[in-house]
Amino acid sequence: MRKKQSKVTIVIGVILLILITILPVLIKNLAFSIIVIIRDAINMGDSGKLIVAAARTNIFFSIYNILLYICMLLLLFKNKWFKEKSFNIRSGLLIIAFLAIKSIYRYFFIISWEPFADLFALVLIATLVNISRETDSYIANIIISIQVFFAMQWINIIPILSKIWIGSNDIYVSIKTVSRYLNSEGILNAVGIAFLAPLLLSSIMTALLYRIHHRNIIVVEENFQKARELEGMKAKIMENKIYEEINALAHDLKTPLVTIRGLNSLLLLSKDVDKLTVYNNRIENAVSKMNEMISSFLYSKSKQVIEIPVLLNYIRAQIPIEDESLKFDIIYDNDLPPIKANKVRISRAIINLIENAIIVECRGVDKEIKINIYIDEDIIIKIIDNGIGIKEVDLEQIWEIGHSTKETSGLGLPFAKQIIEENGGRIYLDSTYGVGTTLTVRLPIATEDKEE
Amino acid sequence: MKKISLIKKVGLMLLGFSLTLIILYSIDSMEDKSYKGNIYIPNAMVKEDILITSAGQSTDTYIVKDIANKLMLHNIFMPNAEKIDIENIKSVIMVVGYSSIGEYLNNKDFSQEKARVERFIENAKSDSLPIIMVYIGGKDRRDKETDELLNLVAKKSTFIVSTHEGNYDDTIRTISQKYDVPLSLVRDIQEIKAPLAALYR
Repeated sequence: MRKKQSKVTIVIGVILLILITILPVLIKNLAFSIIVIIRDAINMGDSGKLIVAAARTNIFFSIYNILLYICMLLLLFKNKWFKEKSFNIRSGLLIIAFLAIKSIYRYFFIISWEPFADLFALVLIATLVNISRETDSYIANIIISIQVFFAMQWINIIPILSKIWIGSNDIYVSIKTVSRYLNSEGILNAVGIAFLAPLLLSSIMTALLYRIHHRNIIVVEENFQKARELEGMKAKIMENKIYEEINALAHDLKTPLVTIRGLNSLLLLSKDVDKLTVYNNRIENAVSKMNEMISSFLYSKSKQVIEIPVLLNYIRAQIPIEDESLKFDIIYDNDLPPIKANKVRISRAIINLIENAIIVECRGVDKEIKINIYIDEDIIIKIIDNGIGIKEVDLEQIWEIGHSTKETSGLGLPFAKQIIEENGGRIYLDSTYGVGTTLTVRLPIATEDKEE
Repeated sequence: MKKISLIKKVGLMLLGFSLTLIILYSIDSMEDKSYKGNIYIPNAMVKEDILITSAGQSTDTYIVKDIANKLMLHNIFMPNAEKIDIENIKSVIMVVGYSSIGEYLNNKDFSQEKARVERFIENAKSDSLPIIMVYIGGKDRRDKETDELLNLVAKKSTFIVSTHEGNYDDTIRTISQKYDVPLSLVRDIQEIKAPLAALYR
């Protein structure tokens, strides 16, 4: 594909080279019409006709220069050796090639040989392209060159600059000589500057706009890159959280294991058959518990019917509430219906929420955490703390991975939200800065269908 | 900070361009020769009917034709005049100025134009026609080809009229002295009316 593109570019370049070679031969009528306009200007004493002649000449020679420049650009830029050079060397070579071709062609064809104006135009184009930072873009090069060539062509009709070899081409000399005869040098000076200045300014503005555009693209690319990196980091952090949860599970698994080991040692000592049956049942229970925990963790979609007191016991066993300054209150009705969820995971989610409430900075001396559990279509678990609350500006970002107001990993809340939603529940946060935070978890009641 | 350096870059570039133009312009102005007065033409030196022709096919010939018309000088305008065109003609005005486009539009090259000019001058001289050489192309038109034509026409001319700007390097004065042809240098193109009117008065 790239090779094909390169070939097309070279073919276009060669076609342009042929075109600029035959173009001067094809414009005999144009040259004749310009001479006729100059003659009419003399006969009628009309300097307006001179401006028309100058405009036609400038348009033709500008187009010629633009085509030659594009041709050089297409042919040279596809050259491997040329491409490897620095921008300054490339620009220098392009200027030399451009002027060399024109200096040869001027002996055979009617072209405008204005080395000073052409050199300045080419240097200006190179500078503006460099400023635009689009040194490898054909489009930017061409757009800037069109404006500069059109601008610089008007410098040739300014009679005041004749003394310094500007506008020494045959047609320009004729136009300026007639302007002297018609006493309209001032008009040509003014017209020349009136076209030159705004066109030059426009080329500078274009280069600056390209530069701004270039900078914006870089910023967008950088942002995109950063966003990707951030996503990657979030994924890694989440992975770490999972390992953390596995650690917690491994810790939990130790409890039934200790039970099994203890009972096993009793089995060796006991000779009472009745006791053996009791120990055996307990070992069986411990193994079942372990099996249930491992299944819950391995199969995240597996759900069990969980009685609220069982869930609370499981949670309470894993929360560090030995701190005397921590008042931990759980209020619930005993006749609450069970929920259906992945026991280990939903417990871990609620533990994360409670741990969050524990570590948050508190307003008074003692930290108070209340857990209210009641029924309102679903099972509602409210975790209320007397912490300092969350500022309004932070509320929108509170569920984002990595966002934390307490220099923690910022994973607790997003992790809990994900688990609760995976189990068909919802979580809401209500916080007032300086008052406290209430987290509401809504979990679906286990229906008969679900139980089945 | 970057913005300032960018503005500086563009500003310096434009300043450099302007300074270059000013320096070149000043150097060129220093070379300007002081104004030399016209020679006094007491009596008419040549007669009407005039054939106005070109040596080099520049558009300057149209200007001279326009001036002749404004001076009410009876003239025939033939930029490519040959021997046949000098019948019933009393004098010739040859406007010198090489134009590549002019020659291109007349389907000829410089050597062909030079040969025509040589042929025409010989014929005019053999008919004893006075030739007035006019050069109004200024410094811009002065190149190798124009200088060649100036030499060619001047040596058979009766009188030379040129603008000061055209004589910026004193070439036209040197030529006039070399071929002993009286020369009238005028300040600008408009002023060639005066020597032309005096010559045909």
